This record gives sequence, structure tokens and C-alpha cells, in this order.
Amino acid sequence: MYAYTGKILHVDMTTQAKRVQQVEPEFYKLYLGGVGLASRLAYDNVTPGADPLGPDNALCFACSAFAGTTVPVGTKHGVASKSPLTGFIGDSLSGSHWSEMMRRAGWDGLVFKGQSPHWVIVFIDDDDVRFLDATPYMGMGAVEVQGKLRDRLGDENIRISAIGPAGENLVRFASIDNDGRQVGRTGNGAVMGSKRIKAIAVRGTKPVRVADRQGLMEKSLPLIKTTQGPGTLKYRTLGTPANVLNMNAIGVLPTRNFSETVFEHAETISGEYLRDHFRVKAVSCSGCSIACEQWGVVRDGKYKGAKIGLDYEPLFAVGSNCGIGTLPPIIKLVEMADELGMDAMSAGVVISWAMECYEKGLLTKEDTGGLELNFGNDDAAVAVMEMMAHREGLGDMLAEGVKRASEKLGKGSEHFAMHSKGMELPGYDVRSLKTFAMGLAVGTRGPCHNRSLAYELDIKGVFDRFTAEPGRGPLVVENENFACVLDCLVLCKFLRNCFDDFNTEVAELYTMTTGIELTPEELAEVGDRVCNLKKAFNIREGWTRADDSLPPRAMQDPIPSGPAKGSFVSQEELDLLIDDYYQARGWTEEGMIPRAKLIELGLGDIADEIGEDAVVADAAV
Amino acid sequence: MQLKVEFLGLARELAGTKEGLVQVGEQATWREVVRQLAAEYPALLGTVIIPDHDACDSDMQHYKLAPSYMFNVGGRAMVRDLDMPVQAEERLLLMFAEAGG
Repeated sequence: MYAYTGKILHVDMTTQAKRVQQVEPEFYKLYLGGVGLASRLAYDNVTPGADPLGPDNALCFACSAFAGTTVPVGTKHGVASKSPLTGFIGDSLSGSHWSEMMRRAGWDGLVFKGQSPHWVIVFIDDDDVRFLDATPYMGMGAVEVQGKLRDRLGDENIRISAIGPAGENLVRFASIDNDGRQVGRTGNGAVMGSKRIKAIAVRGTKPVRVADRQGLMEKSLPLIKTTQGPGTLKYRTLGTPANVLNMNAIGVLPTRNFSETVFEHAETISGEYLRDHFRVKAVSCSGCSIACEQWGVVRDGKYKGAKIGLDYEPLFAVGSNCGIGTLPPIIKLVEMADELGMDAMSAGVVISWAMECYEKGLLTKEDTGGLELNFGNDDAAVAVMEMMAHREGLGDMLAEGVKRASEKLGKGSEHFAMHSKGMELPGYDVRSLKTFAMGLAVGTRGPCHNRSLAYELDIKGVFDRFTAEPGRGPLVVENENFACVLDCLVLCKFLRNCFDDFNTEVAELYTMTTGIELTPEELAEVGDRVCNLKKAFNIREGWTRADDSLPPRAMQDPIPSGPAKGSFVSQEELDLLIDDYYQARGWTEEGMIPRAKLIELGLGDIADEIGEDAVVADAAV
Repeated sequence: MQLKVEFLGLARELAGTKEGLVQVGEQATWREVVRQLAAEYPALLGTVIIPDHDACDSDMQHYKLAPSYMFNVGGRAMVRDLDMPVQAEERLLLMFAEAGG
């Protein structure tokens, strides 16, 4: 076997026992790597019904199939566990040198289960695994601790995944940082914190061997050139912050906790404004030839010195959605979220919910510790960001995520708690993106623009975004499966338009890399398989159709102004859209996976395990 | 008729302006708007606007928007067919929408 090492490292954090799982090529062919492999490891190792923050949850890392090779934009890794936000599968991706270093150390995947009696640093030094006392590093930022650890271990090439104070304090949307990139969504940082792992350091010294070195080089070079061509210039020039003005112009930019969809200060928080006034450089993930991340620095004023790579999603969350209309506090807030170790998207949506609660009188100055938590008050937002990470005052309630916080506060605040399955919404108001509304509602990890690419179908006019009718399901499923294939390989989604015939060309790259024969049809089927695997995980955890939902605001409050004025998603429309999706997936009306479907996808063991109660036996496929 | 075109994202960077005016005939199609934009803002050529070889006739070079770029009318309707007639006095956005990473 090439590229893959054929080995998964299992670590029991309770006893510090280690075990090596040998893996055959046939297994990799089914899941590839990244999200697919991590999700399968989570399915196999999370005890059903486990407390996400207890010892029976498993935190699973998986390399990209292309890690450490010449294939561009392919050195990401996947992480999966049972999410403390949703109670369902929590899969997330990040791009850094971590994936390559894990492979060079000899591991395709890592599984951490149990709970250490004291805080540790796990140091994986090729085949050797050591546990170092983490006491000197407690309370350190997620980025800061990586430098300190490299200094202590005396090797600047060691790569590290670390949590910040938020992960230590079990903030449910805590992230894991690696090289300044984050495994951001679903709260895997809290799972890592629950196991009392402050950081995982990896040193790998082994070469990555590929099956057809010359052939892979010949295929990779033109692909690298394509990634640096006109088709990706938009990413290199402005990055995803360019979406601010686009979304604002068509009336879908979440503003003031998703109450409005046009932001009067969109221009001054836009990617264009960032480029002209704050941008210092564009940086790339490891092995990436595109370099989309736009780094901005604040050169004067009260946030002088703040600097961070900005993407659209964190920008909308702490910007327009909190009513903050200038970039310096946005740069500061995202920098804080990254260093404190929190998903900036969830953090921003939680803060915006608290701001609306304050404006409506549901939270008072007494609740906020004296803060005037109005929309647009960046000083208050900065203070609350810190309070959440340390679970201080109001921050303790907010650290639970917007679902639990609204349930605790009550007073009708659940109406505008913008989540689905417990995870906060991404930066597109779905009231006038009805195909995307379907994609978000059915998302296995919760609402996600990166798992469902259905916003493209609405925004590009493939479907009328203001209406809902049957027939959209097949394209939504196709897009979701395609996104899933990218997440399993792992290839960045910005590569998706760089191929003439994606399945054929990428299957060939995969075979040249791994030596495992993979047909274009087999590659495409991985998406369907892994989407069903993740759904099966959720079914095992008690998922029902009622969990595929949208927040009440999206379904009851018409958009008040702008190009999409008057639009909302009715219950009837959402039911219709979900029916359509289930049908396209080959699921039952209740969203269960027929046994025959699982067997057809090579998931027969799962069909046996989740049982007759959850899977309708031999239902029509 | 005269159309106001708002440039967003890379189109704005390349055009060097937030918006521009395009003059087309009363019976013009969207394809004519693309051609006028190519003439007025040649920096858009090759990245935002590309030659449309499928639509070539003997006398005239035709253009289309590159994949992932699009026209939006009034913030609501996407232009799906460049051969459809332009409506007068419309607010036209030249935009793209792709997330991911």
C-alpha cells in the first residue's frame, strides 16, 4: 500500500494504553480519508448513547489521502466525534501541516477515548507515544501554546493540534487549532478538553511514498497551474470576504441576529474594503497553490495590533450579525475567537442572540455584568467573547451554545435562537434561499454551507429561490455527495471547478497516489456512502425527523425589507422539501435508511447494528 | 437604453470602479450587455468574461460570463439565458457566489 500507512493509533486516555489497528486497502477505498475515515472511526469507537463530554466519546483524526504528496490543495485532515452541540456526528476539517506530519509519523488516523486523570500533552514521536504534564500550558491560547511547545520540544518542525481556554472550559463550540487553522465547527475542541488533552504534538520522520511518482507529478503540475489561473483569481484577490457585498446585494446577509438581510454598513466590512485598507497578505493552507486567506491587520485605534486571516463566515457572524459595521473590531473578535479556541461562527451567532435578548429586555445590565450589550457595541462583544471562553458571568450560559442558552433563559428567546440540531447557522438567510433551507435542515452535522452546497442552486438561479416545489431533492443530494467526496479525499472545495471530468481525473490521481484501483463510479459512490454513514450515526443516537428543522424565526418572520422582503419558509414548504430530499436519498418518509440501502453501500455491518427499530427492513429503495 | 451595472468582488477589482453604465439598443439581449462590458472594461476579459465559441457567427465575437460569475437583476432574479431581452431601467449586479474551502 502506498501513501496510506495502514495503521490507526488508538489511545485510551484513562489508562494511557496504546493499540495499533491495522487497516486493509479495501477499507480505505470505502472512506478514502478526512471526513469519511474520521466519521467511520467515530461510528466504530463512540459508545452509543455516550455523553459527548464523557470518557465514552471518541475523538478521531484522519489524514487526507493526498497528504504529503504533490497533489495540490489536498493536505487537510478530518476530525469527528459525537458533537457536544448537537449530540449527533460532529465532523470537521482543517488545512495545515498536521495531516502530512501525522502520515509521516506512520498514522492514517488517531483515536482518543477515555479521560485522562490530569491534563496532558500527547506527544506522538513516530511510533513512540508519550504523555507530558500540561500544567505549565494551562490557560494558554490555542495558537500561543503551539509555539511554546515547539520551543520546549526543541524542534520547530513538530506540528501541533491544541485547544485554548474555551476547550479547557468545555465551551460546547470550542475549536482545535493547528498552525492558526481551526477544526472549527461542532465543538471538537470541547471533546478534546473533556479528555484533558491540552495539545497533541506530532513529529514524523518517515517519507510518504506514492505508487506512481512520475505519473503523479505529470498530473499534478498542470493541476497546480490551473489552480493559479483565472478561475481561482477571485479567491486569491479577495477570498471569501467578497461574499459580504454579494449576499448583501441579493438580500441574504444575516444582519442583527438574522432579523434583517441587508446591512447598511456592508461596504465597510466587505472583502473589497478589507483589501484596500487592512490587508497585509494572502496565505495558504499547507500544500495549497491558491492562497485564499486574506490577512488583515489593524494599524491604529483601540484594536491596534490585532491581526487575523478573515473568511466570510466568521466575518458575517461577528460583523453584520452583531450589527458591527467596521473591520477593526471584527478582526479583533475573530483573532480572539481563534486564540481562545472557539468556533467564531457559533461564537458570533451566540453573541448576536444575547444582543437581541438585551435589546428586548430579556437580559438586563445585571445579567451582563454591567455591559450595554446592544447591537453594534463592539466593546461589549469583545468582553462577552472573553467571558464565554472562561465561562464567567453571562458567558457561562452562552458557552452552552444558543440552543441551550435560549432554553435556559426562556422568555420567548427560543424564537430567535438561530440554530438547527443545536449548531448555529452559517451566513446565508435561508428565508429566501429555499433549496438551501432544505440542505441546512437535513444536515447530519447540523446546518452547514460546506456540507450542503445548495446555496449555489438558489443563488445561481438553477431553482427559484423564493419558492419551493418537488423535484429539487436529486440535485441537492448530488451536490451534497460531491461535497462529501471532496471532504473525504480531502480536496479543498475551491478546487471543484479545476477539473474537466472530476471523477475520472481524481480517481486517477487517487490510484497513482495509493496504488489502490478506484473507478470514477466508485469515487462518486463514496459521497453517498459517507452521507449515509453519518446519518446512521445520528439514527443510532436517537435522531428523528423532527430534528431536521429550522429556527422559528426562519419559518415565521417574513424578511422585513430589501430585495427578499416578505420571504420566509413555511412549515408546509419545509415538509415538502424534506420529503423530496428523503425520497432522493432513498430513505423512508420518516428519514430512516432502509436496510437494503445500507447493504448496497457496503454498510451491511451498520445495517445489522442499528437494528430493526431504526431501520425499516427491506423497505423500498 | 442605458443600464447601470454594479460590479462586485473581483469584477470590481478588475473594472476599477464600483459601477458603470452600459449603452445597448432597445431590443438588446443580455449577450449584448456582456459584449459592451467587454469593450468598456477589457480587464474583465479572460477572468470574468470569456469568449463564447459556441455562439460565434461569422462577423461577430461573442462573449459569456465565466463559470461562477452571473448577472442578477434587482437583487432577485438571475439571468439564466444570455439570449433573453434586457428589460429597461434594471439594476444589474455582476457578481459571483461560491463558498467552501
